[in-house]
Order: sequence, then structure tokens, then C-alpha cells
Amino acid sequence: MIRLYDHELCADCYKIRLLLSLLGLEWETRRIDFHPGREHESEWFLRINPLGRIPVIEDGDCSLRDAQAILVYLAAKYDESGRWYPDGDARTCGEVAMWLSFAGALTPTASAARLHAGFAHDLDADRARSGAHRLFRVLDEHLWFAEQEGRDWLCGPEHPTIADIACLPGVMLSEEGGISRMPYPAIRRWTDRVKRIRASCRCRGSSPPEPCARSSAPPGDSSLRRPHSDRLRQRDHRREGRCRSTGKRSTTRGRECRQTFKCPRYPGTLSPSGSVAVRNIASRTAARFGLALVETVVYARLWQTLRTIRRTMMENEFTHLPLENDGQWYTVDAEALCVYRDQHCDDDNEVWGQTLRFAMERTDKPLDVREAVLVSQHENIHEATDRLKGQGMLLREMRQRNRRGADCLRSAGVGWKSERES
Amino acid sequence: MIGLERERRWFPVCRSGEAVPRHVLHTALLGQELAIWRSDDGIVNAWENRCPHRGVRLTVGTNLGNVLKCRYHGWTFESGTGQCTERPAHPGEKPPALARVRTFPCVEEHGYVWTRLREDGDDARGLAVGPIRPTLTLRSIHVRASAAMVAESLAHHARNTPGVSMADAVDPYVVHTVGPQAGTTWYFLQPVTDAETVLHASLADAPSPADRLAVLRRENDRLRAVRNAIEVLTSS
Repeated sequence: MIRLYDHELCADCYKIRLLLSLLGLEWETRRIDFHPGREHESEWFLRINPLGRIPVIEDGDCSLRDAQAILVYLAAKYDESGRWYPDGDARTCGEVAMWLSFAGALTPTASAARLHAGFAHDLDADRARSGAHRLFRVLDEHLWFAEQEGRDWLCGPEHPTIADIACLPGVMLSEEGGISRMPYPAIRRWTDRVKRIRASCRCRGSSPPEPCARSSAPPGDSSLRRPHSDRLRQRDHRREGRCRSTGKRSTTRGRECRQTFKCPRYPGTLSPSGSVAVRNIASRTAARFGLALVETVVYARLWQTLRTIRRTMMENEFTHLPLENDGQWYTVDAEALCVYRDQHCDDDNEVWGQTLRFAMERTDKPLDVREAVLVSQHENIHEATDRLKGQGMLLREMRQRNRRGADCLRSAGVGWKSERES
Repeated sequence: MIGLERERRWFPVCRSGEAVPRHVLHTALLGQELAIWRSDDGIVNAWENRCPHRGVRLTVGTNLGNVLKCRYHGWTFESGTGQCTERPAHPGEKPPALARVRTFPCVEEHGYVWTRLREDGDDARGLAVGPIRPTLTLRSIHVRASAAMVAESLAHHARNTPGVSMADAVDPYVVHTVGPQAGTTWYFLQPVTDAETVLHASLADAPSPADRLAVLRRENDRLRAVRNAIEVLTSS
């Protein structure tokens, strides 16, 4: 397994992660606390790289430093197509080496300006910025004439090479160091093209179709180091209307699925108006596929106020609202909510979770609140709804109950319509 | 030329060929940042580079063909009117009429995209080039100097080059020269800010396709030398 000594915000480390995922390789990340810990200057890291710089990779008994050298190594060893580091033609070889060295020159200029702005490194930022502008002018002119000659990439071949990968991060992140790319339109067009490589590679089949390399991170802080490809996989799932974490296809499609309100790992946190929107989407989707909409499920959250929860129930004509507390699922009864509100609650804007906890903690109080509110306890929302269905409740009955609940709320004078008018 | 007059005037903001599909070009005119983008039906838009929702630059957004999508909250804006068509956080709701990007008038002429900051009053001087038309647009050069400075330096350069004649400078933003090598040349100045200018240049005589790249490179080298000379003056 390749091990990468990595820092998430480092431009040089990013290009290694990019090529690794473009090649569909798996790797292991060892996170270096570059800032504020300055771990790259620690004794143990200097034994790995005496220059005290990241990235470094270890692959078997081979240990390599310098981002450009690592790109060459990875492409030469693992790229079976031979496109990322073409070594057949002498001229192409020279061009690739020339632009790799140009990428190296971006580090003390564009990247240094970024270090100054973002990490408060003590260096001459004006000098770094003017150096970067000088390089960008050269790059812009080269790319403009490349376009005129019908080429899209830095080097001669008709496909991107590691030279494009090497130059991208320093250029792409320059604005964080106060270096505007507005004067360089050809550079901006090229960065657009490089960012689209993944799609084009997938179409042509020149590299593995969908790299899903997942880093086997040391336990503890895995959330900090989600590899690039993992994030891309999530993005693709989102586009395909799948749940972000489980990858399961949701019942609604496309754009709407950003509100994957049925995913157990990311329960939706919907506002009342959001719940109406979800219901509209669900009914439209159902109509499109010629299905009858049975139910939509909307959650109440502990941080919501009584007012918003009641509105959710009113707008959806729900009598039972699923509610999560410390990983446990309850269903809330609308009638009980009304009773509770009338008897125990002065403030409509009271936060629901506080109310619930208060009611549960006060054991000296009559237990009617808890009994009324916590109708039943379930592990998750799916079981809660399955249970309701499992009780043999017909759809018509459910609707009737829902309507009764809404009427009950209305007659109690707590309808949201009066809120709106006031 | 005073403020209002300058804002009514047409200026080139990029070469037509550089407003490529599915790309958002970033430039500025008289301190006003612009997002230039071409929709899939070929229409070029020149918009204020600012999302009306939260003020993020639209140039970091995505050109989706017939709409421009802001990177921040995914609001999409329609080509032509700049009206918001969709807000992902409010699916199915019609966006308010106020959610509209500020647009600027935009035409394509002589191989450039032209725009101006004010709709009212017409000042055709920018667009009028006379009976001979430019045919070859050169690479536009970014100069760190005011437009007045660039115009003056171009005139100076023309006077001191043997064989080059220059038309009387009636227009502060257009310089027109006739030389033995390049033939008739126009220099259109795009004042980006008070201290930055883009120098757009084009030739009347189109070279043969075989010579085209050589001419582009030769003229680019010449303009780069002019640029360097101007910047030496401004930095000293």
C-alpha cells in the first residue's frame, strides 16, 4: 500500500492525491500537522525527509520526496496506458520535464503567497506575488498559443499529462494568496479543461472508470481525511439522486434528493415549509410514474419550537410525528401536543427538545405528559412507519386520523393560519 | 472624457473566440467587474460579476448552457435577462422578480465582444472603425498602466518607428496606425481600472493560413515589448 505523508490544505499534496485517484490507486494517508504544529520540522519527519517538506510517499521500500518526482514515479509505475507520463518521444519528454520544473517554481511564488495569507508564514509576500504574476504571464501566453495551434494541454500530446496535474493546484489556489487570475483568460480556460479531465477519462475509458479509493486512515480522525475520490463518489451519488452516506437510491429523484429525508444516517432537518415542498415533490414524482402517494414522512427535531412542529403537522395533516431523542425514535400525537400546550406551556416559541426533557425529568409531575407525548418508542423512523402500517391501518383510516388531528388542532385555536394573519 | 460619457461608450472586453461555450470569462471595465459567458445558442452575456443573492462572484459559478449557476447556493440565472430561474432550497417555487443579475448591453463586432455600462444615450464612437475592417484579432495584452498612458506610449512608439504613420489621435481609446510590416493596425483600449488596461489589437490584412501563427507570434512579441516598456515607465 502506498503511504502518503499529507496535509489537506497543501497544494503540492493535492496534486499527488489527484493523480492517485485518477489512476484509481488506493493509498494510506499519514496526516502531518503542518500548521500550527509544524510537524514537518519535527525530528521524526526529518528522518523521512531531511528537507522537512511534504509530500513524501513510501511505496514498499521506495521513499520519495518532491511532488513532481512523486508524480513521475506514480505515472511511470502504475499508469498502464502510458499517457500520463509519455516517455517515447524525446521532445515530449523534454516538454513534460520543463513544465514540471515550472510547477516547482510555483511553490516559492504562488504557494508562498498563499502560505503568507493563510498560515501567517513570515516571508516577502509582495515579492512572491510579483514572481507568481511573472510566471502566470508566461503560462497564459503559452496556453493562448497552444489553443491557436489546436492543443488543449501544456505539452504536445493530445491528452493531459502529469505536467497539467503538477501546475494545476498552484494556479488554482492562487487567489487565496491574493493573486487574481482575471488578467489571464487563457489560464482560466485551461483550468476549466483540467477540472473536466475526470469525465473525459471516464468517457474514453483511458483510465479506470470510477476510482473509489478509500484511505485506510488510522482510527480516530477519519473524518478529517476523506480522500478526494471519496468526495467525488459522494458528489456522483448526489447527482444520481442517491443518499450521500449509504449510496442507496432514494424514492424521489435528482435535485430533490438533496433532501434525502428518508436516510437513517442523515435524517432530514426540514423546516415546515420545507416539509410542504417535499410533499409536493413526492406527489409530483409519484404522478410522473403513475403511482399513488401513500405517505410522506417528516421529522420533528429537538431544536424546533412547538410552533414550527405544530405547523408541520397542520400542513401535512399528520396526527403522528416521528421524533428523535438521543438516538431513540418516538412518535408524537397531535392531540397530546395540543393538550400539553394548553396545560403546561406558556410560550409557543419554546424549543421542543427542552420541553420534552423538562417533562421527562420532572418525575414528581403527573406522568400524563410523558405518556401522552411518547406514544411509542422505536429504533428508527422506518420501523416507526412500518409499525403503523403493520397495525393494519388502512390508508383511508390513516387519512381520516390525520384529518381528525388537523381538525383537533384547528378547533383548539392553535392553527397556523391565525399565526399568519397576526 | 468624464465619467458618464465613458460609461455610455462601447468598449471591447474580450476577443469573440475567447468567450467559449460552457465557460465564464472574468474581466472588468472601468472598475466594474464583469462575468462574460456564451450560452449554447450562441448569445454572449455581459453581467455584473455578483450574485444578487449573497454577492459571490459569478465567475466562480458554472455555465450550464442556457443558465449560469452560482457556486454558493446554486441559484441559476437565465441567459439574456439575468432573471433567476431556480433556487434549489425552494424547489417548485417561482423566484421573485428581484432576483435578477444586473446585465449590460452586449454586441459582437470586429471579432470582439463589446459592452458598455449604461443603457441610455448612444455613443457609437467605440464601435465605428471606418471603411477598412479588422480581420485578424491578435492576442490581447494586459498592461499595468492607465489607458491614457498606454495610448500615449503607443503613439510614441509609432512616431519613433520608421515607416509607421499614425492617424490623428481624436479618440483616447483607439489608436490607428499604418506600418510597412503589419499594415493597418487598430489598438482598442479596455480600461480595466485606473491602473490597468487591456490592449486589444487587430490587423486589417489577413495573412494566409500558413502564415497566420507566425504573424500572431511576431505581433505578440512586438506588443509584449511595448507593454514591458510602458511598465518600466510606470514602475519607476
